[in-house]
Amino acid sequence: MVQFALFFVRLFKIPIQWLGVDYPQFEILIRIKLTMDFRSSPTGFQTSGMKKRSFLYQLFTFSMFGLLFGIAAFSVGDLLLSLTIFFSIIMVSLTMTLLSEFTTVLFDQRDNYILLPRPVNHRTLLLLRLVHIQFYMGFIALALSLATGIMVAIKYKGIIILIYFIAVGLSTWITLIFTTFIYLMISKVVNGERFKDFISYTQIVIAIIIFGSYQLIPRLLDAGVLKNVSLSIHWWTYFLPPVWLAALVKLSLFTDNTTSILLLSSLAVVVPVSGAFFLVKSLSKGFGNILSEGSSESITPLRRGKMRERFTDGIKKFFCVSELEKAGWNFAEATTRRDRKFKQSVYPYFGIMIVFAIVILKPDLKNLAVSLQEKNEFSKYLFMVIVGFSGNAAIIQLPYTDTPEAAWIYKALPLKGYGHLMTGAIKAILFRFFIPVYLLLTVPSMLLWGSSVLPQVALGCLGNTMIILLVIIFQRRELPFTRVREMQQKGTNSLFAIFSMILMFIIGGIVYGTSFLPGWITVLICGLVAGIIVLIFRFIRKSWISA
Amino acid sequence: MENTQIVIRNLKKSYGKGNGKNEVLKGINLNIHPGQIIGYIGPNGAGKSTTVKILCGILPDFEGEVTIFGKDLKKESLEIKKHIGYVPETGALYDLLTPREYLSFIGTLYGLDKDKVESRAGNLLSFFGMEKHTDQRMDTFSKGMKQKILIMAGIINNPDIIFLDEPLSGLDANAVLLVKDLLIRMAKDGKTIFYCSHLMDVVEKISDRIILINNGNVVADGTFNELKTEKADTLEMLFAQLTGRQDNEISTENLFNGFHEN
Repeated sequence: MVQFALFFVRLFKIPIQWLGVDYPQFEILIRIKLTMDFRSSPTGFQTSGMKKRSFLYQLFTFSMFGLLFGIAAFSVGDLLLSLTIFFSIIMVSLTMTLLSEFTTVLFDQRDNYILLPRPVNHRTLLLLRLVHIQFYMGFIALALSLATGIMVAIKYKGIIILIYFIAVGLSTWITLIFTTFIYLMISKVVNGERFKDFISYTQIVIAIIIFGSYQLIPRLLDAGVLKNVSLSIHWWTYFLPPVWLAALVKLSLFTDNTTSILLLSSLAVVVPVSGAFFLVKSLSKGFGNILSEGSSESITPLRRGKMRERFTDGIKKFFCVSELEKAGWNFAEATTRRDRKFKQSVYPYFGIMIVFAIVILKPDLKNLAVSLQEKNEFSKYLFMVIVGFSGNAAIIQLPYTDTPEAAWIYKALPLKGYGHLMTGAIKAILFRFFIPVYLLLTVPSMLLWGSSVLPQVALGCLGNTMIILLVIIFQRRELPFTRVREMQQKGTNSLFAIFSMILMFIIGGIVYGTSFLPGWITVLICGLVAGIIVLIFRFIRKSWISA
Repeated sequence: MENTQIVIRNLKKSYGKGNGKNEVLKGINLNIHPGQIIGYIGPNGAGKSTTVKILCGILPDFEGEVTIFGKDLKKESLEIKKHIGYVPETGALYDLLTPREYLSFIGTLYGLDKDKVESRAGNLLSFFGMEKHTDQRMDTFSKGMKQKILIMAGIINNPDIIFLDEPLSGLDANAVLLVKDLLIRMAKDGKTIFYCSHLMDVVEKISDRIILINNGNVVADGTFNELKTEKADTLEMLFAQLTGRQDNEISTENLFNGFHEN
C-alpha cells in the first residue's frame, strides 16, 4: 500500500518541486508516515486493529451512501445537473469528514520535536500533511463515487470513466485546499489555545450537522421536482466547484459542449493547481507557526468566579456524603471541563438527540413548534425523555482518557474500595450534564405544553438517572479516566444505543401512563428519589471495590 | 566576536497574551565560542528549554537577535539547522519504527546519502551497545533505550553545535559515563555542546562554562572556578545560593511541623 502511494507521489514529482518542496525529504516523510500508519503496535494491538477495522467499516458505509447518492443524482434528467448534485454531495461529505476526523492530522503537533529541529522547510511540512490526508480522503472519495462511477461507465462508456475518476480526485484536492486555506485564515485571527478550541467546537457542530443532514435532508427533498429540471449557467455558477467538476466530466462526452462548459472545465483544473501553489508557496509559513505554537508552554491561569465557586461548593457539600466522594466529584468535574476529546465525544450528542427526537416524532419541519404542540401525549413525553437522555453520553465516556497510564494513582491509594470516588464522579456528571439539560428542557416544554407537564419532566429526569445508574451497575463500568479512548468498542456503543432506545420508550410509556393516573406521579417520583439515593448510590458506594 | 559561534542579543520570549502573558525570557545576552561545553542550568521554569527550543528553530517567534555561524536565525534557520543537533527532553520518537529505520530517516532529512547514514547508524548503535536491537521496534524499548536513540538521532548529522535538554534522563550509570566521554570528545573536536541539566555534579565536572538563569535572566556566567565562592564551593550550593531559598532547612522543618499538627 505504501509503495502504491509512493508511485502516485512520484507521478507528481516535478510539480511538487515547483512548489518549493524538498522532494527527497518529502518522499521519505510520506514513506515514514504511511509505514507507521500501517504498523500496529503489539502493546496497543487492539487499538490499531480497531483503527483499521473502523476505517474499513467507514469505507463500506461511505460506499453504501455513495450508491444512494448515485441513484438519487441520476434520477435527475440533465447530466450536468445530476453530476453537480453528485459532486456537491461528495464535497460536502468530504469537508465534513475532513473537519471531523482529519483536522488533528493536519495540525498534529506531536512530532514537533522530531521534525522542527531538522532542516525541513515549511512548504515540505505543509504538503506532507496535505498529501497524507489526501491519501485517506482519496479512499473515502473512491468509496463514495464507486457506485456512480459504475453507473456512468455502463451508461456512457469511453473516456468519461477516466475523466470521472480524475474529477473525483480533484474534488478531494479542492476540498482539502479550501478547508486548509480557511483554517489558515482563521489562525491569523485566533491563535494558540483558542484556535484549538475553535477546531474542537467546529468538529462538534459538524458532527451534529452530519447526523442531522443524513437524517433530515432526504425527508425534505422532493425528488419529483428535480426530474425535469436542467442547470442553466449564470455568472455565479462559475464560483461553484461542483459545477466545474460536472462540466469537466460532461466535456469528455464531446457532445453539446459550449464555451461555458469549456470555461467551467478549465476552472476544475486551474483552481486546484493554482490553489495548491498559493497555499504551499505563500501560506506555509503561517502553517509552520501554528505547529510551533504547540511547543510553547503557554500558561493561562484558570479563573473561576467566586460566586460560582461558592455555589458549586455548596452543592457538593449538600450532595456528597464524604470527602472522598467530593474528591471524585472534583476530579471528574475538572477533567470533563478541560478535556477537548471528552467534549468532542459528548457534546455532539446534545444536538444529535434533538435531531433523533425530531426523526422519531416526525413533526412537520416547516412548522415545528405548532406541529410539536399538536403531538399526542405519548409523543410529547417521549420527546422530553429523548432530549433528556443526551447527558448519558457523558457517563459512557467517563472511563476513557488519552493518558490511561495516570490511572496508577487508583492502585497506589490506600483505599479499601473506590465506591465513593465513583459516586462522586457520577454526581459530578449528573450535575454537569443532566441537570442543565432538564432545566433547559423545562422552558420549551412549558411554552409548548404548559406548566402541567413539569411533574412529568421531573419524572423523566429521575427515570433517566435511574436507568443510567442501573447500566453502570450491570456493565460494571471502569473507574473514571482509566481506559484508552481508542479502545472504545464501537459495537458496544451501537448495542448501548439500541438498549437506550428501548429504555427511552419504556420511560416515555411510564411517564405517559402517569397522565392517566395523576396520583401515581408523586408516588413514582418519591420512589425513584429513594431508589436512586438509597439503593443505587449506596450499592455503588459499597460494592465498588476494584479499580 | 570573530570566533563566536552563537551570538544572542536581548533574547525575549513570552507565551500568551494580556493577563495570561507569561514572560519566560527577559533579555538574554550571550556569546558562545566553538569547542565549549556550556552547562545551561536553572530552576524549573527558568527558561532553559525555551532558550534551546529557540536556538534549534522550534520556536521561531521571539524578540531579539540570534546569530548562529554568522547567520540570522530568523532569516536562515534552515541553513543553520543543517549544522546543529538536538536532543529533546521529551521522548519524542516515532517508536513504531526500528532504530535502523528511524536513524536512517533522520539522516536522510539532513541530506546524508544512504551508505553514510547506514554506516553512522551502525557505529552509533554499536557505541551504545544496541546492535542487538537494530531491527526491533522501539515501542518495546525502555526509557533509557529510547533516550540513547534520541542522542544518536541528535548527532547522526555530525553537527557543529549540539543542544541537549536533559540528555541523561533514564540512562544507566554506564551510559551516563559513555555520554559524558562522548561530549568531551566532541568538544575537543571543536564542536559546541549546549547542555541543559539538573544533574549538578555532571555539569560541574564536564562544563567549560556554566550559565545559570533564573526567572528569564542570566544570573551567573563563567567557569566553575570563577563562580565558586567560599560559602558555595560546589555547583549545587552555588545554585541554591543564587536561585533557591536560603532558608531551606527552616522551610522543611515548617512543612513537617505542619504535617504533624494536621
